[in-house]
Amino acid sequence: MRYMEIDWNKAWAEETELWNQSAGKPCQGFWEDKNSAEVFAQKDIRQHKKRLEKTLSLLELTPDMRVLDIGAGPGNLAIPMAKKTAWVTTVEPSPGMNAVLDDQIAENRITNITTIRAAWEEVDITLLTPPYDLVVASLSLGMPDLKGTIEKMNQVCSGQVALFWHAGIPEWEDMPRALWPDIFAMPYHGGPKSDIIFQLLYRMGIYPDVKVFSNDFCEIFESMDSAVSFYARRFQILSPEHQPIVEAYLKEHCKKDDRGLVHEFNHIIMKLSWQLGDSGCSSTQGEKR
Amino acid sequence: MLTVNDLTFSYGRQRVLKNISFQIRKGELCALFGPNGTGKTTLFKCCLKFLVPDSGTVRINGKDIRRLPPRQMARLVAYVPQAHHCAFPFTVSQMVLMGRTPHLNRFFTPGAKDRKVADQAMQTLGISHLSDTAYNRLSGGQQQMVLIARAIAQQTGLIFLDEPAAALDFKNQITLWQTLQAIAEQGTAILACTHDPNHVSWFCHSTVVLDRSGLLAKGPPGQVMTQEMMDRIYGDACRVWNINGLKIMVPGTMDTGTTNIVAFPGNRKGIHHK
Repeated sequence: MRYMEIDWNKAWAEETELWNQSAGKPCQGFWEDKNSAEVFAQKDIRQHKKRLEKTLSLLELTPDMRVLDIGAGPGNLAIPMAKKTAWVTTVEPSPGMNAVLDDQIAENRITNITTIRAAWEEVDITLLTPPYDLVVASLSLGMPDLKGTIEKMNQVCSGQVALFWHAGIPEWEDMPRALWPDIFAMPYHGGPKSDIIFQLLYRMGIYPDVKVFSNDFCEIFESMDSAVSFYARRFQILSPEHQPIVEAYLKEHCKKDDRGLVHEFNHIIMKLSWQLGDSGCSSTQGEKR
Repeated sequence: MLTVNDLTFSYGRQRVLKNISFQIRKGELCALFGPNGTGKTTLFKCCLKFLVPDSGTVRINGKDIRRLPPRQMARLVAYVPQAHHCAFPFTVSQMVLMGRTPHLNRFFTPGAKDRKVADQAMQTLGISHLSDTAYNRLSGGQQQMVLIARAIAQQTGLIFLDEPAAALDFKNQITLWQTLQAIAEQGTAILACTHDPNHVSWFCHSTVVLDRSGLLAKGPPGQVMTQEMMDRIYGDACRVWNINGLKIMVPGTMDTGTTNIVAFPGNRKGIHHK
């Protein structure tokens, strides 16, 4: 195969589609109501503290900055960013996540956040107030058209665009990767990774800075039943006949401590960022090879 | 045998089950009926403790399933999946014998009694002649029969079946439902989900009907499967005919003037209509 003929945006779209099929539904639909979003938000702050701190430190925020946060979720990045910058605009489609974000804004008495309740692909940019000094998307690249997503980000940015995404195989994919071939006679697809983003950016004439950091977190369950149910919800493709298989896997891979049943994961995150108007970013000059 | 009380479950913001309550008695063959996407599979998953509901309880034999360990659960309820992928070429008799797992001694070796129960289950389903055939070489319909035999060998008071007739030809569909009737007659409670309103009407003692708003009705098919009910579920897509008290669902476009019902599967002492 001639590598220059690969359409990396298509590769991204295909991997995203396979990812959705492997789970039985799109990943974006997972935490949609306010209760689930609250669980996520609390868990995110508790168990992802290290990741959030690392992410914030890599963003080099300044008090005069205006920030666009795409896929803001419950605001775990947006809230601390608002405290360190002039203004934050969030883009988030999930009503549940937005409800938690509203609570967070009120609770923290934040007055410099604008919330836009839509998916980035659907946002009418005439409703935004560009240009932003920083456009960030942290672990929120569920969109099938990544090229369109990036072009739209560049359009509204005059400073830095920063994408945080997975590199390598995160450990939460270990279970479906181990079980799916036996259960469904097909491999599990856990979604596209940072290599495709890099290839796509390069082809777009964008040569990004890459920073790497590792992160670990865990899921904590009060019992084996709630652990099995958690994964049965996440992977709707699973049926009750798979219960013994899932349970056997969890028995082997979770450890018990005073918090309950603990499933630990390690994963590696890449920050891919570029400066608009920089010689390393010639996105306005069309595709480059 | 099965009591579902005020069960509610959501996938994210999407509420799939809302305040579902019903009961199934010993020896009752009950159809779980409703259009796609109304939560039949989710209800099964909740009843089998595969999903933990947001609220509500499920009791089997009076016992709250939240307090039942897996082995005890497997002695009370058997589950027959819709399609079963099996990577390893087990023979039919090995597959059926697996139904005995929750009853085995601590060395997990099946004894003479277990083999006898498995043989009887194969006889009941009429698949004894296949006992040495590899399961993964059977047709979809035959595989379905094996999975049902496995559930019978499990000797539980309650069996769940997910779309049991979906892979079967017409004759085998009739055989299947008659087999389920015979199993129910021996005292087993059966909950089978199905898309076919005629199967509900012809073969089942009762039906639980779900639609997007929740539980629509629970009762004998003769009372539940009315024109009003079918209109509510399917718009005006089908007509309900009443033949000597038996309800038959036909397409709404069917011309009654030229259509002759010659016979229908005789679960009710072989009544034939002309």
